Amino acid sequence: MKAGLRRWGKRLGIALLALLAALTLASAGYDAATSGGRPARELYAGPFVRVDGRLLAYSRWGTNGPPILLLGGFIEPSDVWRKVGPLLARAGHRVYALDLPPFGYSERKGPYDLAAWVDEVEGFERALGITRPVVVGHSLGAATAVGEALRRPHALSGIVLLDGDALRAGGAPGWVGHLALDPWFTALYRLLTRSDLVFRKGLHQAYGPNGPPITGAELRRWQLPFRVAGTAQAFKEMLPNGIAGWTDADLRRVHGVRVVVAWGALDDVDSVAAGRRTARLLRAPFVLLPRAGHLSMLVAPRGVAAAIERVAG
Amino acid sequence: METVRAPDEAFASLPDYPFEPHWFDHDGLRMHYLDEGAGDPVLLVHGEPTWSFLWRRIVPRLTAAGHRAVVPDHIGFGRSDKPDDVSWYTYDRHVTALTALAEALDLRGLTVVVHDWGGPIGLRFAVENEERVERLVILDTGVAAGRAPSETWLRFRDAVRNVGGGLDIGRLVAAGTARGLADEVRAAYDAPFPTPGSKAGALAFPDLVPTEPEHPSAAAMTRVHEALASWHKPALVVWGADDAVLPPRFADRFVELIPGATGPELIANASHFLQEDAPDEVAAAILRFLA
Repeated sequence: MKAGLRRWGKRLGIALLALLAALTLASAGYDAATSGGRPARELYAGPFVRVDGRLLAYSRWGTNGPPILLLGGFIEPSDVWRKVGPLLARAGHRVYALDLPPFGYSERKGPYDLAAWVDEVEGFERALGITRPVVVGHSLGAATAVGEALRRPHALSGIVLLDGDALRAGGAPGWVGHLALDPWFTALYRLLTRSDLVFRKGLHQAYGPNGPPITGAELRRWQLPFRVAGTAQAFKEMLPNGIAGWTDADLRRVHGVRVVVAWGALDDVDSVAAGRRTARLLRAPFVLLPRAGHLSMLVAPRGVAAAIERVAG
Repeated sequence: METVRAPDEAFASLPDYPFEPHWFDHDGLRMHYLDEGAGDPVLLVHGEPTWSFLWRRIVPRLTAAGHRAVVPDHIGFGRSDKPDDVSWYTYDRHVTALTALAEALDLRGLTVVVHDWGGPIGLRFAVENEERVERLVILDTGVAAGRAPSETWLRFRDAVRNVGGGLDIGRLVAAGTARGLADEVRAAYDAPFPTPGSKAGALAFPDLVPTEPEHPSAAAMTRVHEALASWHKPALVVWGADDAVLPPRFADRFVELIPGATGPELIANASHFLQEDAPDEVAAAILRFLA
């Protein structure tokens, strides 16, 4: 009986090893058959600006007026502001939307953490001669906006947190990063980031019930930034960090800056309750955006622009 | 002075307004109110130039969640009697009528929800009858005395003064929404005001706003303002983000003024009559506050 068990155990072990080897081979084969990343300049026409050795991609609307700086969230290229940007420009603002690496089309050069993003925003403003902007952060970008407010409140006109509570959360334990081994990680990364199904599902959730139809063009908008060289490696580095953000006490320390928190009423990526809580911590008005989900700037651009105008005045 | 009583047929088939009328006799006049559901009472106080119809899509959500909704029509509005003399209407008379109703129904543990002119009236009732009131919900209103609320409001007052009995009530409400009104909704806002004389209450309100410190309403409204500065019970401030008559800075002022206040919660793409533009969001905000 015991011998039988041991024999089965051995067979199982051998089978598992064989499966592992086959998967590794298949992954390596898949990695070889699919292409790696391409330089951002080949995927995005620009504009770009070099800041502290990194080539940063951005969009802009409007040529004069008080400046507004828009920051996207996790995996969001500056293109997500294509509806809000022109509205704000028409209202008399110079509007910039910046890709914070490793998202959008900025060069993949780490570190990819909150301190680096706050530095990049500051460097971007310096490089383009932007003074006293309103900094708007969507989702993960909200934490960067709060970072600006904490570091240099007097250099800002105000901040807007959009569908982002700016709080730190979770993060995988350090050893998870070590598990993300090549060629497996690369294969998995490429499989997921080329999967229409995965993106379709994600976008449906992020848009909520009133989003646009998810066309092929819409899928490519979101998939293309993953083809920028170095993106897979960047995500591997970010994996153990969790969601970058601040503590309740940090939020309470924000002073001397006008703040508005705005939220899609149907957001089920980041809860409306979390938004209200953050608004209370910041002692800021809370703007509810009816009909909009997490990607509120694409579903309720007028409401989002009006919320930003409240701070930009 | 005559008193106008709109015929019952005028209210027979209004959209989303299936409610039973309730009547309360006060000062020789018949006041109308809705009394729906059972549970902790919520008093919903309308303003200029609306009536209980304004709350029609909020009421069912409150009653479904186990609350009682009491919704008066001020004298001169809705199904309540309407003295046809503009000078009959005063700030004091509106507050007295509302207070008498709350006493007659012995409403306690109240949540008072106010909008527009319902603010000066309902908030004064609340601070003068604090033992009856647990919570305030403040929507697009103001209680500051001594100055005009905004340029847009001054234009509105001028327009009302100029047109007099020709005042187009439905059009006025529609102009205060972000999305406009369906024809039958606009007609429903007009239903209580079929004749020039029936509009006296609506014509009176703009001139009851104390735009100068010497105004007859000023002292009373200043007392409300002062009482709110020491209101420590919960208060929620909800506002239409696109309100041009009473812009959201008025919401900020309420939050700064009232120690117990939370918010403001601004509703995007909603104007002055946010109950029309965003009824679900307004109801949800009230219910969350009551939970």
